[in-house]
Amino acid sequence: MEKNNSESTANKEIIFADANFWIGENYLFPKYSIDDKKAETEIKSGFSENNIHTVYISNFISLYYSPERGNEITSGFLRQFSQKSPEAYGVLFFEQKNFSNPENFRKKITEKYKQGFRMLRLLPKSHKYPYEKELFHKFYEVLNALKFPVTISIDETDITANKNIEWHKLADIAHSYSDIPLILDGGDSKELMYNSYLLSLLDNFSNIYIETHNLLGFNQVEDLAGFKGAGRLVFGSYWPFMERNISVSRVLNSDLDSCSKQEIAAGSMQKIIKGINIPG
Amino acid sequence: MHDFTDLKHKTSKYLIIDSHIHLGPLANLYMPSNDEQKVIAMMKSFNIKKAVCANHGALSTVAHGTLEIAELLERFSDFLYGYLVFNPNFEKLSLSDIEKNLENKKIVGINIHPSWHLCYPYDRRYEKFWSFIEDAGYPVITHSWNPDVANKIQKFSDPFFFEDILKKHKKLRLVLAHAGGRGEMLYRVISLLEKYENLYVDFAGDIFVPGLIEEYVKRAGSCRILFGSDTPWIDFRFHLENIISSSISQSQKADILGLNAARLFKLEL
Repeated sequence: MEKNNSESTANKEIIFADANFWIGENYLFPKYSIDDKKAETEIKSGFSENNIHTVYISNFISLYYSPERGNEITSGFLRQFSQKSPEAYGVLFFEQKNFSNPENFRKKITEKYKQGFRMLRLLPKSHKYPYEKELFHKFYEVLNALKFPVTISIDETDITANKNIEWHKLADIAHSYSDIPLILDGGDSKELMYNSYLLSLLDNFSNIYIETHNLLGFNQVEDLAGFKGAGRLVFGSYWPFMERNISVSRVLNSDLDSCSKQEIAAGSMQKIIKGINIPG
Repeated sequence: MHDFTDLKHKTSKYLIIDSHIHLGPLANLYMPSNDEQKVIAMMKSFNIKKAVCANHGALSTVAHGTLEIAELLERFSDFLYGYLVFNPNFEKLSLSDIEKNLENKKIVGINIHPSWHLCYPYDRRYEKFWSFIEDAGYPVITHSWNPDVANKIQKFSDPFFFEDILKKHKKLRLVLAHAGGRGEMLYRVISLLEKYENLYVDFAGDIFVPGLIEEYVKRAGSCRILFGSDTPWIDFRFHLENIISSSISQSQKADILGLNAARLFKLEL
């Protein structure tokens, strides 16, 4: 019983930062459509119920309709929401107009950073654009210089939707741009099927991070944390597709010490964000 | 504030039986911790009292699979019950293997996997099996999935294929594992549960759709939903938390977490 109490106390002290939190209109599933009011309520309940102190917001409008419009909407939400606790930041979706004006990309990222965006999401499959090093290098060079994190769902690199993930492209990016923190998010993939790839990527590239929501395999969180450190795992809830209780509980009930749990829950993300090389 | 008391404490209030686990190695699935001893020790530490296992080996080989499950059941006799697997591609051999091994008291059901074996459940190769198993009185647990997904082999496991089988074999008790797996199929399966009282489901696998458990319980009650995790494919801790934090009553949670499995498989506890 004592152990339960002490574990429970330690768990209560662990704070979370959610790197995979979605809002906005989801035209396919009304129940997953999150308007601004609901988003605000959910961020606050995540804070009070699950100790989620920080959320990084991705917007369905950016995915389904227009990255530009979605980025603007997220920016507007951040302006309105502006408060210290819980904190909300934006996930910037890559806009294809950058391809015709790559020289402007640095300025754009800097501006968006000031609006509260803290990472860039790539959607090469959904939005049909290249992300390989040879064709995207001008953008990676900027992101590398700014140490600006990039997140990409494994599903977005599975062009055939039949588990043919382009691991080599991800490895190439991580290798060539070692100052970009590259956060791999499982999307809807069962990441346990790719343990060998995940272990190899973590082993070979210190700028690769794995987001946790879909580390569903038996002991997978512990196995990956034990391999290259808990600091290489980044907590994400994948809300509203998954209940936050489940993803939070998995970290709290992992067979890891409190420091490692805290590292996964928020520490690794805090370090990544702190490393961004944009003044102000 | 969410109850941060750890899961071990929360699960201690229930009789928990995981009716859907797989043990043993599998070539295309590398998991560093996939060791029977470790899996079972971890399950016990979260108050899971018993588990029913379809070993990976039995899905993939008739010759070695049954031997492997027998060995596992003996090794972990205080914890494990087992399913035999019917492989329609080796119809006669597999059926006689099942007949022989039903003597093992730790065998409590039969597992079929139309997608794994690339054979529709209404195929003639299944016919003798359905009649045999209805007479023998053992529950059957089958993989079920939405056929409308990228993975083409899921077309073999459409939950609605089982409707004619249930109509023909009225005494058959059938568990639709994964409850149809994805998208709208998860909700369409509720209509099957409403219609056939010998039908059961589990949500084994990566099925954590918010509000799904509540919807099933509201429409079909809590007595034919089983706790199945699909460990090691899915860490059982996700499922325990999902059920325990769902918005249903404590007695409904107790049904799902273990009482239903105890009744269905007639487990001696």
